[in-house]
Amino acid sequence: MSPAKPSYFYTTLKQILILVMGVFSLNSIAQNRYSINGTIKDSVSGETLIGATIKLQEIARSGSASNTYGFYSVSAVSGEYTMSVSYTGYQTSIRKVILERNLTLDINLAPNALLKEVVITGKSSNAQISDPQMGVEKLNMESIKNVPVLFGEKDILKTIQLLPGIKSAGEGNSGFYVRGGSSDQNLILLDEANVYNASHLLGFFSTFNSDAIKDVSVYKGGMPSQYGGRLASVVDIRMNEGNRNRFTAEGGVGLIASRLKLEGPINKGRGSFMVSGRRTYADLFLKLSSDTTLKSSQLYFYDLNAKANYRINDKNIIYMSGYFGQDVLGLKGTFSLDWGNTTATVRWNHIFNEKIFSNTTLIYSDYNYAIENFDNRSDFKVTSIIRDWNLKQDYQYFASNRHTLRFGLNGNHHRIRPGSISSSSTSSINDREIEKRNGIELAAYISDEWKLQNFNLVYGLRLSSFSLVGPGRVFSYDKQGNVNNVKNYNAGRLIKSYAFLEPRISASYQFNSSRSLKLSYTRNTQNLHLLSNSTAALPTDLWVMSSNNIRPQIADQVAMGFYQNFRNDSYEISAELYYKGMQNQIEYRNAANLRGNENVESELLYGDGRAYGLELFIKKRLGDFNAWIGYTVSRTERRFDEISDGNYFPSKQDRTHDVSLVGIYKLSKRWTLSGTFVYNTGNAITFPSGKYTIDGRTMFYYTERNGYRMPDYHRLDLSATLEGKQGKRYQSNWTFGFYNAYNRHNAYTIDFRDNPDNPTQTQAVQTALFGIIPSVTWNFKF
Amino acid sequence: MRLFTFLLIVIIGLLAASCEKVIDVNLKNASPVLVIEGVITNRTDSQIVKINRSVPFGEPNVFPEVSGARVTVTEVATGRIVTIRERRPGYYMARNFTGRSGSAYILKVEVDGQTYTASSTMPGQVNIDSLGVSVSNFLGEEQKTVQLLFSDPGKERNYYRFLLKINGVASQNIYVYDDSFSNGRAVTRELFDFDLNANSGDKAEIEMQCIDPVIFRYWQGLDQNQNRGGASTAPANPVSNISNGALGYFSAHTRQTELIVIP
Repeated sequence: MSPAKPSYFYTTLKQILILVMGVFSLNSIAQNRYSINGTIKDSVSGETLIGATIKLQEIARSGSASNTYGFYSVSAVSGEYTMSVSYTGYQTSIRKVILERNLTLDINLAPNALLKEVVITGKSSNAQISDPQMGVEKLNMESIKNVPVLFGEKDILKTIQLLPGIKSAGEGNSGFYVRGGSSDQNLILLDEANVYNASHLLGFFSTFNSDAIKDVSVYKGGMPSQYGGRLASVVDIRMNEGNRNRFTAEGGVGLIASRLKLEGPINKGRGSFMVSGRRTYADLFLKLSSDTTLKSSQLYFYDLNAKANYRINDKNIIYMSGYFGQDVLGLKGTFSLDWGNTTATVRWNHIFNEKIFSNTTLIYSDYNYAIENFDNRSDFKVTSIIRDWNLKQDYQYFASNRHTLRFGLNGNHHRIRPGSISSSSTSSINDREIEKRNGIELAAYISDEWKLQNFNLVYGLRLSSFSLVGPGRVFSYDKQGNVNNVKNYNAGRLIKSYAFLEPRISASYQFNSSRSLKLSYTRNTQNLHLLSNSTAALPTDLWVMSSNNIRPQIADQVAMGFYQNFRNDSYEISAELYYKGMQNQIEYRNAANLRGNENVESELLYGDGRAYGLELFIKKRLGDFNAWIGYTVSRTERRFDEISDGNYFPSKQDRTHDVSLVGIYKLSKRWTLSGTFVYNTGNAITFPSGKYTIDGRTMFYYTERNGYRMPDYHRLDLSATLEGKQGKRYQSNWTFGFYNAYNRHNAYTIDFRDNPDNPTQTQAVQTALFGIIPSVTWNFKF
Repeated sequence: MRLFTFLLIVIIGLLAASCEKVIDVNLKNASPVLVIEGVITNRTDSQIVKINRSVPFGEPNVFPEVSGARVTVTEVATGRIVTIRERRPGYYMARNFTGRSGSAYILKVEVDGQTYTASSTMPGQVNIDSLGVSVSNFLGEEQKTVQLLFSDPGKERNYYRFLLKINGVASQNIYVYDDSFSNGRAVTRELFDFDLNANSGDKAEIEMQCIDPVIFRYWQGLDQNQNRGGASTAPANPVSNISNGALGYFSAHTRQTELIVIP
């Protein structure tokens, strides 16, 4: 698709949309129907509630859910109805409504302190059965606050790794692999802004301060068509909006970091704000060190989340939210390395009428790093930045109780500056700039959630395109990676473009109110690719765009799931089976040089991948004791002409068995105990099968890619929370934790070397990262 | 890359007491592979070809020498063919022959009915301008590091390899460098070795080689396998310039050695 075409394309699309809306509206015109719409909120804080269920009890299967802004709409023929609104952890609201015209009804739900329910998911009781969407996990922050974590720092990206199908990328790492995908194949959105490097401190912490987070949805498959751009998953994170009723402060003091959050109403509840900050202080301990090098080194991160919203009138709400985070690392006079993300989102919710909800979003996102070397004869500074300007228009059309449509448009301009080097005149390093790249992603989507008697369906289509545009000097390479052509493009000239139609279908058949079967098929494409040759999330990993050399990655996933609830929905069981085929996957040539290399695309190899597996999940979700068990058996393989003679080999994400157990027990009014246990068989890895000598050094000989396995990994984490005496306005609690409670030395790396005591022998050396790590955190709220 | 490995080690070290232990890993026994290490230099008595075989991981570091190979080197420009004779088992050396900068050489090894060939071009020589010693403090320990200074020629791409010996003990590190960031500049390289501390009075011997780009990449590949530092790219046999599946390399390079006494 050339850049001249979009206008034509959008006109056509608009016509199609009008047609579609007409078709779906027909039944509502034919009958004398009215609708009820409004916003669902927490009665104490005024926070909007995402995914609350709204039902008209007189109509079978009339269930509708509030959207990400708490907005809902249901419709029915005129009459008298009993409307119930429910949300887990809240008292169900039941009221009589007389429907003889369109109604606007905002509903406040009271948090249910009386019900002894520790909420594990934010979904209502049997939503898992009736919702046609599959492959999704929804978590609210309240539900994970008791799950033990490393250093006592609540971390949403680590907690989701306890769910089946989501695997940790490494010990204590916030990076994760979903259904055989690599960590850059996860679309991580914070209030719709793409977060490029979601980690602090080389991956040991995620950028998401749990105080500022309201709700998280993780899609492992069957991604709804409003999402696009990554192959493996969507992690949609929504920030808190702030207390609409009164000013509150909360915070915590932990071993590694302290946190503070302030929130309150604006103009008597017409709006609200939230500001939340966090800073680590590992470097303050370094100051205590007697060693001068350590004393003068820096090692910390901080982040700041802020959000505000304002209701202009009943039809218009404006939201503004932002994130700013920075890592600072340095050894005085030697080097420094700083990196951080910035995101800003401005949203305008507009309610056209009781059935059409519109949201317009402008998003800015950047990720940048700077490395500085102060050595006087080889000083240099490298800076790099990725920057997005993203405009989205989304519509939700509650056409009838049977059809809810979503459609929208999205244009995203990416600019990547891979690296700009500057140095002093006495340095041995030259000034240099690796050329910037500009890319434009355009997308249009439509989907319909269609409810029949027992059969529910979400089906949609996403049309996506990516264009790499000038200015730029563009290289082509031969099979060996040598430059065979160079071409110059002027600003705005199209270098290469791709377009894809991505079908997204997810369907459920409900046998009865507690059992269902679901099927889905999804195609996803990806045009931004992370080149990395490190395990830890190094801030200097390189993002590249699809180009004349790099083709877009494509994944096709089919999945089938079976869901059953027991004992009045207090137990849930699910089994999901998936198969995913992937095209244009990326590996590296031997000894690839990814840093400061303008020919980095010549270092890449392209091949196919496939991943398949079975995920089992059992959850007890009511009572004093809540728990879940997840089990995954899976395989992930790749095939490249240049590797292992073109045969499939296990990819580095491949591991066969994964088990996770999570238990939370409310011992008494004040004590809550919790524990997690994880067990997995080892990841695929390349070990030597022989050795030889080069220039007096022992070198290792490799016969196959990833032909070995790391040792099994297992770990138990425990935590206990003690609620302080409840004051009228003041609350506090203590959380005590043990990470790796039985001090297992799990292998982080295995290296091979000559035996230092006997150089005629070689040995394998295992390095473990964390032994037992105790933690204590004090939290307060008033 | 070293900087990042170093950073990672520092951070891991600070966050937790990481711990190392020797473990048993059940490795497959690959059948022996021929290993050829051939070197042509611009100095006399250093045209050497070593031939031996690989062994399984669990065996001692004794690599069976391969005797009776027919080894020749051809100087492409002149067509001169030099036979490299076996001086002791697996060790082949030419006398009365010295390589020249700008010449391409072809190595041919015939052994057990198989023929292995490789070619390499000797780059122009770049000289060491001076040597020095830098002193740094790390975790309370004073570390002396040998530095070398040279002027990189601006008109061409240059690839270097450095070798360090302290009191006759060779560093096991692989030091390779190219001028992609410092073309035409005065370059200072520090030959840092954590295991080989230099003290006052020690004799340090430094060798600088100018190597061809294929060999540079070969050493880089070996270095990446050795210095994993948590790297996620799978280690692999570096791409050899020798045909027919032999391991090793054939390098035509310049040599310059200098001595310094650590102050």
